[in-house]
Amino acid sequence: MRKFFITLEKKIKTKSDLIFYLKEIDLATEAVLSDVNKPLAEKIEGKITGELKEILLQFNEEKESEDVDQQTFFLELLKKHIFFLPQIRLEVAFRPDEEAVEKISDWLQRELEQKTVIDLRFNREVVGGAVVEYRGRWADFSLAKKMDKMEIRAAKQSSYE
Amino acid sequence: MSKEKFKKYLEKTGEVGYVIHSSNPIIYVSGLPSLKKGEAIIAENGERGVVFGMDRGKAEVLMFEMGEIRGGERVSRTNNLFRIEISDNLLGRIVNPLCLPIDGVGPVSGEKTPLPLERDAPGITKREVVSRPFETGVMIVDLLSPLGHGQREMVVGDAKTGKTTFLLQTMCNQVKKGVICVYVGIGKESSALKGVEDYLREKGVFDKVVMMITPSNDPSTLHYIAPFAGITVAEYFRDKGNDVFVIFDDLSNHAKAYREISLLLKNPPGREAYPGDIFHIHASIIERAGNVKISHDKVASITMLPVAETLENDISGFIQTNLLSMTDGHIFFDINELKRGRYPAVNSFLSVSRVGNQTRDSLDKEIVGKIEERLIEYRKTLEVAQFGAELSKEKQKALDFGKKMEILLNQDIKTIIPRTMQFLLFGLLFSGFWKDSAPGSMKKEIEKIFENVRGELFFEIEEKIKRMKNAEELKDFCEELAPRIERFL
Repeated sequence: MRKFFITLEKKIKTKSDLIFYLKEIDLATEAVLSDVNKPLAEKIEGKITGELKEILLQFNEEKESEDVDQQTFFLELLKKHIFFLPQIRLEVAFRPDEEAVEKISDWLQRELEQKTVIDLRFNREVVGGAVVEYRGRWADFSLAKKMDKMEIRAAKQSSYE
Repeated sequence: MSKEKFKKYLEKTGEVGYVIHSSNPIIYVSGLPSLKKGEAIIAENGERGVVFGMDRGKAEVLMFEMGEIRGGERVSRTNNLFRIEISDNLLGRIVNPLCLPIDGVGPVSGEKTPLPLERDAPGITKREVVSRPFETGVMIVDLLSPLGHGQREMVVGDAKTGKTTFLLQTMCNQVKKGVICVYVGIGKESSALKGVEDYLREKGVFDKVVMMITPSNDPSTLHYIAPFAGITVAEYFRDKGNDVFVIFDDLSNHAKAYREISLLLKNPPGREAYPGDIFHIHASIIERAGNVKISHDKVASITMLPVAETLENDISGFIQTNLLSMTDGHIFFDINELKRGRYPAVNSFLSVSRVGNQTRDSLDKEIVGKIEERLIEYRKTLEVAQFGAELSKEKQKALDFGKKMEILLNQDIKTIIPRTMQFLLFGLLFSGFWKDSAPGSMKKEIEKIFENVRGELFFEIEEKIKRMKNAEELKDFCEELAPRIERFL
């Protein structure tokens, strides 16, 4: 089952992706439970997107059965797994495109040695850099903070003069 | 301003948490990996709270305002235990348990000392025996259940039996002797607390009292920390070398507030749904009072009168018996005494002062022994007389004497009777001054004595009584003084 979790993880970069897939899993569960006599492929056709559909069908193929209980249990575990993925909140002064998000996500995964979901917030006051929150830790690496410090230093110097 | 404070702590600690659930006035917070129990936290909107407990992945925080804290709001650690800021200028002010003024007069000025709410009680080696008498100015208590500086004496009784009035009389008497008083009103009606303020102002003692109040409409978290804050303020003044008198009015309300908090936190309920550690909570407050050596040659005391309310005279309730076991005695305000017209409604036979005798001198002990003997005789005779039996002359005399003793022991709310006057009055009674007086005229004569025995005459009598060793000397002195007294009447 772990390989399916990792496959879905790769699709999730940001918090909005996470919310999207959580909703998808709920829709899939609803579809699976809708008509126990129909095969899975028919039940989920048109209800969920390609990635989750593929994962579900692959799982079903491996199990070689149309056991609804197994399918719903799998979806429950999948949901729990992605729900508890660690999140990192980044407050930045620009709106990064998909490519930038991908690069940041890959970099984070390498540095933190685990999959992390990025919660991107746009805040012009940051100016540059980022304010980072991760697992209860908070740090301000913004340009605004550095500029404030420079301003304070300059004010102190001019008051001495 | 509050957002700046929040940001300041955020930068200082480098940790952030989020409110995941709120059931006013308790919030559950996630994050904050280095959080400790008892630590102060600050929310983004500036509201403060204290960490009460920690569970898997979340902390239980008590907030002190019925504010607008919402799910998802950020909170920050302060890296300090929750503290209140105390200064000498708290005297004469009305504050809440956070030591923030609520009397509308402005901020508390002066240098402030931040102190944590929970502090260790003084150890055995630092304590001194209770030996100095603590006068309440209420005759029945001073004579029959005497108190000492550093004693913890519970005041127990039904509602509206005069407990708070007795406490106020005691406060007024003690302020005049230079003792600092801290009145902690927990969960009382605002009108009752206003009555307390008015009484103290009328008596001119308000400027030596710290009034720390949390009315019934305040969150239960404020009720919970009120006695801790009160005893911390008392310790502040004690450590400066002052004798302090602290009142908790009342700890039954405090227990109810703690029960409410505990049940909201889903802690398993114990007896009467109180949490299992209610005894420890009260004991940890009460143990902080006492007579303590603050330097090699100086002793200062915190005398504590915690109040507990009963229902229909039942002092065998859970909280009441807990407090009984951790205090040095109790003063029982009996509703039956109140119905019989006795005021204050103290039942001296059911009241106990475990360390009061240590503060008595030989004259005290003799006089009180005689009073108790006569009172017991009077009560027994009264029981027999109720059946309509014919009484012998001796029994009638005992009855008459007992009634006159009761007249002396009755005291209205505005009168405070110093020790000298107490002995003078009983000395006159024992010497036969009121032998042939009717009870009605005796009351008026007592009032006239209070009016006229003042100034030089009072000091003269005080000096004489201080040097007396036994009841005989007092009786002789009162017989000599009787003609002078008669001139006032």
